[in-house]
Amino acid sequence: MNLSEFEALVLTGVISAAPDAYAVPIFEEVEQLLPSKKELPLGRLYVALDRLERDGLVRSRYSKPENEPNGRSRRYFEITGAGSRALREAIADTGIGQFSPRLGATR
Amino acid sequence: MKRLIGGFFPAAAVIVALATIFAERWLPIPTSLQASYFLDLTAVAVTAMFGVAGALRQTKAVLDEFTTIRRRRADRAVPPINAEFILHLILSSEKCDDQVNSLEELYAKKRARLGSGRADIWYWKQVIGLVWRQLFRGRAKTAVVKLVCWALRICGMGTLADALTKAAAELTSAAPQPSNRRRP
Repeated sequence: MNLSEFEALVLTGVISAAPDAYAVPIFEEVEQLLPSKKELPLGRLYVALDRLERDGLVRSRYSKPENEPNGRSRRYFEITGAGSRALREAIADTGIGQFSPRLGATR
Repeated sequence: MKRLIGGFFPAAAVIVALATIFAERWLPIPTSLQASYFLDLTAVAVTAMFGVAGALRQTKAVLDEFTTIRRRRADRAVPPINAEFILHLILSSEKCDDQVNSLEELYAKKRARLGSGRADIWYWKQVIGLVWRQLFRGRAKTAVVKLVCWALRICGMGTLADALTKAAAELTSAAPQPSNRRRP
């Protein structure tokens, strides 16, 4: 599985934000990891997460609304075995982690 | 309570005016022309006084209420309701709950850092981006291909249009992955 740089960043964000890996912590992690300081659109993150889930690299579950502080359900993400392997391969093969020491540290 | 008081004064003014007219017509008091004018003027003056006082109180009550609502909104950091409504219209309920949750959390942080105006603009930008990326992006590409094919057919280049449609269909089925994904 070949990952784009952004997908590798998102997977790293999912790992870093675990166990409460919902969109906001992942978004903040990815924003910190991004080499450019351009504003990251939330929609881009959601599309990437949907794509990774479709490819079986992450899995998601919706929480029960009553367990959340404002009574709305949240979607929690978790990296799968295939996702970990794909991330390791991406870092080893293409050197994606070169620009970010934190991404390199997941090696 | 303020509303009650505000409503009481105009009502009292009407009652006083009616009582004055009643007294003028039916009670055994001197009804010379001067006395009649005097009573009429009194009625008008009392009505105006109470009416103005009531209107002022009512206005003050409305302004107080408006200020309270604004203060409450400022304290709670409420994002633009219309933008949230668009998401509710378009997305499924679970997806919408999750995305609105995330947007609200990030909005509160942005608002603390940038102020309400810029945070509102940020919120609108995110909502438009979410809707565009999740709903229209793929469909827009398909629509463009269809439009080009239609134009080609009109210009008498049906074969080229067919080839383009076929190529687009093959590309879509062969490469469901996004264009930024690295190829082996």
